[in-house]
Amino acid sequence: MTDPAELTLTEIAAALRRRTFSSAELTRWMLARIGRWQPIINAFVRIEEDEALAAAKKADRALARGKAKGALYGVPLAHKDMYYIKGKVSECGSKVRKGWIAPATATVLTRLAAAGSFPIGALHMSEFAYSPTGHNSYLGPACNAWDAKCITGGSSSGSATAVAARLVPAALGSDTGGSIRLPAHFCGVTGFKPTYGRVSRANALPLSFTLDTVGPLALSAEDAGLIMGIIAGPDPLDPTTLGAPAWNARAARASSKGLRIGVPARFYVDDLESDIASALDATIVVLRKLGAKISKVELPDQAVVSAAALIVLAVEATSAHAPWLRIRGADYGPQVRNRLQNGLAYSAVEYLEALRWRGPALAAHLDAIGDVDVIIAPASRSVAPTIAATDLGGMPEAEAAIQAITRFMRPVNFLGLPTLVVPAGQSKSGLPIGMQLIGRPFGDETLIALGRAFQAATDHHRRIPALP
Amino acid sequence: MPDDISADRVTAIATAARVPLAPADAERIARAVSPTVARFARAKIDLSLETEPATFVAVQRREIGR
Repeated sequence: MTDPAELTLTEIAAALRRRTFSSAELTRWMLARIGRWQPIINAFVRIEEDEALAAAKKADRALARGKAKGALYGVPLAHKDMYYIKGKVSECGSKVRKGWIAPATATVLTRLAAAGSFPIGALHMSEFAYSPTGHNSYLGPACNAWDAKCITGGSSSGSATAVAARLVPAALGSDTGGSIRLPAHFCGVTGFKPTYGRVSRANALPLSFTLDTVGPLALSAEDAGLIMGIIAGPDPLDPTTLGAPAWNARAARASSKGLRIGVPARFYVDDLESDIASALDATIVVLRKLGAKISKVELPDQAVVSAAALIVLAVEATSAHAPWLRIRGADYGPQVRNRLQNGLAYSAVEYLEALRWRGPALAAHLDAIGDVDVIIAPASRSVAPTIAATDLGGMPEAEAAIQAITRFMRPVNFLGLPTLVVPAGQSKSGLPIGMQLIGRPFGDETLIALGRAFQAATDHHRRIPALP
Repeated sequence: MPDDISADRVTAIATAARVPLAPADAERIARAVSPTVARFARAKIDLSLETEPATFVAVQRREIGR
């Protein structure tokens, strides 16, 4: 059997259609690999072996009869444990929702099922998607597949480390303040945060309704585009998606020659560790060779944009959790409880001023970048720190540490911009480095196309961590 | 907006929201959020009377089909 670990999602789906291997063979291979890695990286919260094998055999029968339909037919996937399936448990990384049975199915899962995929389990996440490290006092931490002593990043912790270890070829995450992009950077996978309003969030765990987005962590930009083609588009159950354009697969394969790429003059390039700065320079060299026009851009004060994002996120998260904070505060982990309590500090006027400023802030951003198509920026000033160094729980310094880790993340959420993180190098210690390609509103397909071109010219995304 | 948040203010908002909060937590929260509030306040953002949250959607959707 071809080693599926060497294949991307696109290649696996094609191999199933060609019947290079069967869905049951693939599923058994994945279950065996999960069995070896799970004790080391804690990526899964549930493994659904019997259901997955039954679904795989059913898919194989359909494939044999030529009745298979859908781009992902027979592909087992797993997602962050915050996408509801009617009648099934979804604990959202929390004790508060222990044993909670979802009353409806997330639109994105309905669409992935219609494309022929089926679940093999559910993945680890930060408690209620409200931590950027991958720590979880209820579940224990997820661990980085490249070095189990290091954090995965969060909150899509299980999604990133499971894809990195090739336990699944892709997984959904969510991004409210960096929760797809930061784990993609720390774990060396491709992560895509779509334009706000491009993908339905219906029947998925909310954190901040103004900032929440749903997107894939995958092995390539091509794979991320494949998933986006399935999950993007209007959904009557999520009003923010109404009026958004349908996915344009042709634009996602277009040439990137002549794209205008901006390099921020400050903020994203300040105080970088040397490995990150080197990776940024090397990425710019590749993009220039691909025919991109590179220029410096002066962005509006990103620290202020970041502050506005923090205010909106804090108040909306606290509002969502207030009913539980009133009667079940002790059931939260200390760090998440502290962060939720932080939202009590802001007045209604402060919150609404930040929220009302979102449109003018986006207009100022677009004015500043002019005709630039894509901005390149590191995802973080460092590679993944250790779990021990970031295990701050409810300590007073935790909030400042969290804000430092997510420094390059929040402006994108406040402005609702699409962003692709691509693996772009590694540190001297062998840990992955990712770069953010930040697009214009609804420029999602341009980013996928650029990511495909970048990955055709590089092999960072093909590196596979070894089982310790 | 004030540049610094006081524990008394945090306690007052928590009380209004009917969320129980220990005095030590109010102190911690005040210290944690003050830098964010100060940063946003210092920007002296000038919002027109007509600006509302949905203004964002209007700006964003101008980019469709660009």
